[in-house]
Amino acid sequence: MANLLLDLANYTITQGIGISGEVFYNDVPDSPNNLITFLEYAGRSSPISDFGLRSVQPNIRNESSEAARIKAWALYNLFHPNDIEDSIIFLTATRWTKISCRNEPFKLKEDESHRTIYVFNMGVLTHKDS
Amino acid sequence: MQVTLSLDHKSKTQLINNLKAVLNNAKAEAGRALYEFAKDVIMIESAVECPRKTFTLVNSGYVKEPEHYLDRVSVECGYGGPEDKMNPKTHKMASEYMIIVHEDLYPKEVVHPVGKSKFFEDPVRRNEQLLLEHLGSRVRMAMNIKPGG
Repeated sequence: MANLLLDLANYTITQGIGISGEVFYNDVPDSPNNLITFLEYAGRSSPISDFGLRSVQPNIRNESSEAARIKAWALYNLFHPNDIEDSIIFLTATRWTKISCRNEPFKLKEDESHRTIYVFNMGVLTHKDS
Repeated sequence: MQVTLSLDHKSKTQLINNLKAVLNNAKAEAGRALYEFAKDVIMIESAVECPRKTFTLVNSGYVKEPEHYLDRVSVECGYGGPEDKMNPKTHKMASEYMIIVHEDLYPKEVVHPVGKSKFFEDPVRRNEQLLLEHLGSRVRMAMNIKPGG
């Protein structure tokens, strides 16, 4: 079963930005302290095709503010390669995406456990989940 | 058989002036259309979705008058700008906390009794196509172009 957020999470691990057990989707668990998670907000689907423009917000949380910043930029650069504005990224053998980052990573907040959270937003053009 | 079409200097100047007038009318109308759309669609829908515990953030919404440039006209709207307000409970300005309220998709500490995150971005994205249609229609009217023309 195809799930965009799961595909993004797995791609992040296979590309070496995140490690298994510290990458999540659709949830922000209280532990581990250091994690990457992919959350989704309102996008737009096409009524006449199998494609949709999804809105995804990667969250990067770390006990170290600097580590969170570095990890957030690594993730941003993964999905927003330099000089390749229109690049197609295959998250899996069957999942193609055209990703545009809507803004650069920024510090959202420090949570109650003094962990820093960086976020950025992406528009992900892809086919519908099955 | 032949015909010669010519445009003398006076007619050419008049033509240029007429075209400039049409362009200025179109730009002015585009500015009015953008302003009205921002005020009556974006900010209304956004206000409905904006978290409002004390109404501070929603009351900081604003739409600026159209700004005309050589090649474009723009209207700025948003929150916490010239209409920035102080929250009576936290004594923080709306501009100090609006980004967290807007961007935190998974708030644990901030409870939204009414409203949601992305209260501004969602209406903007949702209405992109409607804005294009509205703008096109108003500019066509200003230029006296009939639909399909």
